[in-house]
Amino acid sequence: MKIALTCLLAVFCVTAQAGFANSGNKQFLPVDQAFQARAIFDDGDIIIRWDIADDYYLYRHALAFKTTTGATLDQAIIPDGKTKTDKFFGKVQIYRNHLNVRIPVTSKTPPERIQISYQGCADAGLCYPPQTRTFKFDIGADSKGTTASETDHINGGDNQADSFTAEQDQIKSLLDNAGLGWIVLSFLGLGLLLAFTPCVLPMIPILSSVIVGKSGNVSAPRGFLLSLVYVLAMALAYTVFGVLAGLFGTNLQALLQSPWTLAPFALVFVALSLSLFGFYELQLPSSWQTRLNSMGQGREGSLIGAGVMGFVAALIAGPCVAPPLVGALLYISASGNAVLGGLALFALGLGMGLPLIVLGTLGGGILPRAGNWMHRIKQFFGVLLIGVAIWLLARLLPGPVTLVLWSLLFAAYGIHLGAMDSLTVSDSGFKRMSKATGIMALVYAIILLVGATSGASNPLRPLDQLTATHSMATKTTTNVFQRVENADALQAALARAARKGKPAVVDFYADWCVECVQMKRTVFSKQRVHNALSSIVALQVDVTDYDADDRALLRQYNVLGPPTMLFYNANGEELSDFRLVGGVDTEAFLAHLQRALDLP
Amino acid sequence: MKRIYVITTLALLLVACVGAATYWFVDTNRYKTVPSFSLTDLSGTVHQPSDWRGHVLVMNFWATWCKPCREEIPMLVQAQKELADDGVQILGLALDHTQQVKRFADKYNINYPVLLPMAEVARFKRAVGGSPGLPFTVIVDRKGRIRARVLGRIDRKQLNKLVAPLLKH
Repeated sequence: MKIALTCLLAVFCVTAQAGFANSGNKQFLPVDQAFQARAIFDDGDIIIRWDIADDYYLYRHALAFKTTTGATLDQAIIPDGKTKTDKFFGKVQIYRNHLNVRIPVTSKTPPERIQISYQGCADAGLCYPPQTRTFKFDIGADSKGTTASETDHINGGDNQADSFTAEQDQIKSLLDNAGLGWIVLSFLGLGLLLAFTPCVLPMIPILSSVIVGKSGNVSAPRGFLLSLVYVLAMALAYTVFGVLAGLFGTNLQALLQSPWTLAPFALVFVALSLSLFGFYELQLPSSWQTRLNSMGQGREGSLIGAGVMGFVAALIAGPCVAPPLVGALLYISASGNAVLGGLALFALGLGMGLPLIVLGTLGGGILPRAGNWMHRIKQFFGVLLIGVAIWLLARLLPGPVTLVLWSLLFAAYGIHLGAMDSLTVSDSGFKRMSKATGIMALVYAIILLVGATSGASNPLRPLDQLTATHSMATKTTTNVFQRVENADALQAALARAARKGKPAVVDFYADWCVECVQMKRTVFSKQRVHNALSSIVALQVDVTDYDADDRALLRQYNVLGPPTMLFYNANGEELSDFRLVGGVDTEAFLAHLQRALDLP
Repeated sequence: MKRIYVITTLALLLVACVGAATYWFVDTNRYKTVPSFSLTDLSGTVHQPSDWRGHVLVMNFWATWCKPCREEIPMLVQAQKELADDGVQILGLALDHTQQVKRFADKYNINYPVLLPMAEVARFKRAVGGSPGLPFTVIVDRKGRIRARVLGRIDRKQLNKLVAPLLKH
């Protein structure tokens, strides 16, 4: 037993080392060491200071500053950096060693929070993704030299788009995140259920007498110990299978992506389930079985004997246990997680042995008597296996077809449970429960069928398609803004608006600006906003390309970056107090618009 | 007495076999299979990793705004010319906008597939693992297993060192 444990330990050690191969990496500083940012409030100014490591630099064009509360932020004073001529982008400005940016604040107290963005690279050949940091100033602090503390800390991913996981990753992460505890617990339950199958339950009293020995009265603690050793040995054997399935599974994962392997796999499960439905028997040849059984003889009542028999018992795995066991192993191999496999199968073995431990400790009479109900449990496992087959095929088949298959399964099982049978007064409680469960299964099957015909694909939400279409908001796809391409066009448009005596707004937008896209979808698509903007000139500048022209335009209007909106009165003068920096919701935007331009 | 020795020996043998099998499985599974992706090249063709099965893949994550990435590309173009006969395929996975990338690819005469869009490339980069930053190069062997991940700009010598041991079929 000890040797088995040490072997297992060795296996886990090796797997721990078999990690990723990260070869030949230059030593790059972590981004917070390369660029150390600080924010200070000093005498009416916010000062943001960066300490930049040697051979690292920051880009001027990637600097952005926002307050998250209402305090007015006048334009930031950004010093000029070193100009580098980039072959592709033309002139860029960079900073080395130190960078101090001064932001005058019109109110005497600092804003509650300030959010800064920056991006830089290393000379040795690495560019970090854009970084965002939020600094919090203590409210009520005096106006001299308050250092801000950092709150949120966002390391940009390599792009600013929302993250999403592909479906295969989702399945794997579902198995990882579903709480190891829950999976192990359900395997424990499964094992217990397996113990009540026709080939296991009747054997338990016989096994118990063999393990514990025929010698008269055995004390409860001794009986417990012997049974425990047997069960632990059996569970250990299953653990090994589970670990193997988990390790071997990483190869299987790749295989399970092709229809050529998924279909046979599913068929294997269906074939296994047929064995449970009684069409054939699945077990080791009887000569093997008797030989293995005889190994345990002559050593009844001893710990070693119990251990050996337990270990061997796992290998014999009777006809009822074999199909679900194979099924469980295949499920584990789909996760590719050896630890999960080991723990889950250990729980399975424990669950299977629980009745044996109970019998060994408390003696006979506790366990339920064998009967026809055991076959029901066998059939339940058969249905479970077909369920796994459908789950596998779901990756290949269109969603609604999978729902139809599920529907068939539930309908068939429901009818088998007696949903359509008539009850008589004398029928037992079990029969009634069975019919009730059968009716539930049948109803679910009908709901699934309805879902399938409406085009749904999720068996847990079959009626989604019936409610979805009505809740889709009516989107106005026409842009409420008039696009201007460059600085000249913008100037001309503003001049035209002034001649006509109309107020104007200028919106700076980019595809990569998350808040801009959000506002496009939720604020500027609303009819009310369209109406509010219809009486003025609404212009939009798209700086998605962020080329030299875009950057020049931004600098010309002293705009740090999108989202920013400028407001011009009817005389063509900019109302710089009303500049809107950052994303807002519909109500806030309309209120702001009203205040700035005195619109109804 | 004798039977217990037989039983114990058999049990030990069994455990030893299981241990050996496990070690062998672990060894062959030491390298993680490259995750799948579905990306489009600049001519509109959709690609998956299986399109290049049997090749040694050099997956280079880059962006036009990343200076070290741009500096690497002429080296990669030259390397692709010279290593194509050995069954090496370089892929340029762009974390950037299509318009920028198209302009750049034309200007630099990139002779290997440049793959987009940005969101899917980002997802794939996360699946492959490794720290954030560009450029980022992943080497995949002929059996589709990830053999190396390198952060930062690499030169031709480094590329040769990474690729050479994987060239044997």
